[in-house]
Amino acid sequence: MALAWNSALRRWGIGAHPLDWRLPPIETYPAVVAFVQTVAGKLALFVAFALLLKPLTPLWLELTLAAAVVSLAGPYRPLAAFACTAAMIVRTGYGYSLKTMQAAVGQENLGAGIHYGYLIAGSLLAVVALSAAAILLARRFRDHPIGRRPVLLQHMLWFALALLASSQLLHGLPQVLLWSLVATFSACFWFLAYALLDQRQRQPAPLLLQLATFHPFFGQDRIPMGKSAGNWRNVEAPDAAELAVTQLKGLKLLAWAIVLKGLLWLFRRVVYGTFGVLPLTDAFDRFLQDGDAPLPFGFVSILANFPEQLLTVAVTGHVVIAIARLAGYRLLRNSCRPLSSRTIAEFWNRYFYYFKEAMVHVYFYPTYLRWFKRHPELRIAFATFMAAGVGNFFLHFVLNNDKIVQHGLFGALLRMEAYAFYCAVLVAGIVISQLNAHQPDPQAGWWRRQLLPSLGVAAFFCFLSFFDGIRPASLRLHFDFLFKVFGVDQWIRAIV
Amino acid sequence: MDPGDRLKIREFVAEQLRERDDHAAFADGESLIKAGRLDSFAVVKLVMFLETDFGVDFARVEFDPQRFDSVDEMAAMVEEARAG
Repeated sequence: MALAWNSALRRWGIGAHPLDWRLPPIETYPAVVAFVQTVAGKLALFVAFALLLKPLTPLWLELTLAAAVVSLAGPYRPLAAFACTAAMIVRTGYGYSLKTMQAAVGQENLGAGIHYGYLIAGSLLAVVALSAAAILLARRFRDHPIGRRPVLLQHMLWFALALLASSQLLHGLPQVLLWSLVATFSACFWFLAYALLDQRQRQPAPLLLQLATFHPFFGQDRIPMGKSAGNWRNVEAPDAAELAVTQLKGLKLLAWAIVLKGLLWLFRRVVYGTFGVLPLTDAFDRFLQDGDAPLPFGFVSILANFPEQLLTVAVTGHVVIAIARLAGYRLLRNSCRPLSSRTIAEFWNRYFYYFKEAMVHVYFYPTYLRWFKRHPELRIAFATFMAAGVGNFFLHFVLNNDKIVQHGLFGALLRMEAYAFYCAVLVAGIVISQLNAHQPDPQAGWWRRQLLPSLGVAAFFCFLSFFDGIRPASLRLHFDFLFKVFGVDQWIRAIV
Repeated sequence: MDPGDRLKIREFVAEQLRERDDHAAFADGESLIKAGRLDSFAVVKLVMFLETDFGVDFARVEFDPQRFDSVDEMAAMVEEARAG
């Protein structure tokens, strides 16, 4: 009787322990899966999805419509995906920040004569043409010594363009056009890298699908969630039943995103509202302005920033993946229980999966396959350095290209010293956790096996998150703030 | 492929899954990366395993992380390396 009762409860997502409670697994209910395959069921699904999406994004209607169109396109799904991606870019301008162009226009004193819409459209067309040519060349010359390293060439091209732009050789409109090209190329950089890597496969996806993955219709402006066109093809729901299951999983993920969004709202209200904790950015800004830090509990701002960041990334990622699933792509979640991680490497994998995947595919694998093959530990350490260190830093440098307009290439690099520290510590943490990887002792209790390692990992990332580009201040100022809020500055002054 | 070699690959994959607290059964043709049961860190270990235990040289055999998705695909990769 008890067993039957437990089993019935589990069917509704209620496990024996509160930690096992889940949203009802609707994708496993045969009647629901069958209903979602009918016209009425699809309509009900799209309406339910749109209603759940509404509190999460102002683009709820456009995103639901785009996903619905792609899911209904059947064999024409790549074409529909491309059309929806193009339409969403026109509608929302995913990832195409005006900051770089505005800075360049200001620098060249061209304020009145510039129409930003035309500038973005022109740059976008140029980058699409450039990307299509690069993809086709990488495919055509895949066995040529130069063609074997298309992503390396892509990096060199970016540096050449950024150098040319920051060298001020051009002036007036040509200079603005060049910066506009750099900004747009930067926004597409990681999508193009994936597309070029895809050309190494035996049967790369068609060009149209490759371009559909650039700032895809399901909405992510910087990191390629969903990875490459090859991955899109692999995770596409193969039949109507699987499509229904995938869509129901998407609906469930969206519901979970709403729960987390509610939790985030409650967290902010209680911590920043009721308890009066100063948000970290405000606390740090105040410190940068007048050297004042919220004492004696200023460190709480750092502690509070970490769960807030986790929840924000989780909500954003869940929404994107839910929309992709509604369209019929069986993508893995972006965040998956990061706080359950027992190692630093595991946390990096669980916290922002698609960012880590981009770093791994573009930097880790190529390095790992070429360097230090006879020294296993050095091999892992160097490949990790290239991915979590060099690649991670370069990605943030590329995406902050408006700083290059303002401060030049070298000046912009210097302004990211705190982030360089972040990358260095992250690399050290991941390398150590990878090299010390061992299976957890099954005899150890929950405290020693799960809780203590997880707390250690959370503490590490909580500390590190302060250096995660909160403000472009120097490393010294970051440490000054840290020392002050932890009360260490007095000891240092006494010693010095 | 020699059944012993296939079993060896299978055992190594099972070990990777166990390290991730995944004790569920899996078939040789089952997708493990697409299903999220194995990640890129596991792929790194699988690369090293295939290099050291089967002499696969990824400078000659096409490297595609998706080819580590199942025991069957890895066995095919080893076959390809031996044939090449």
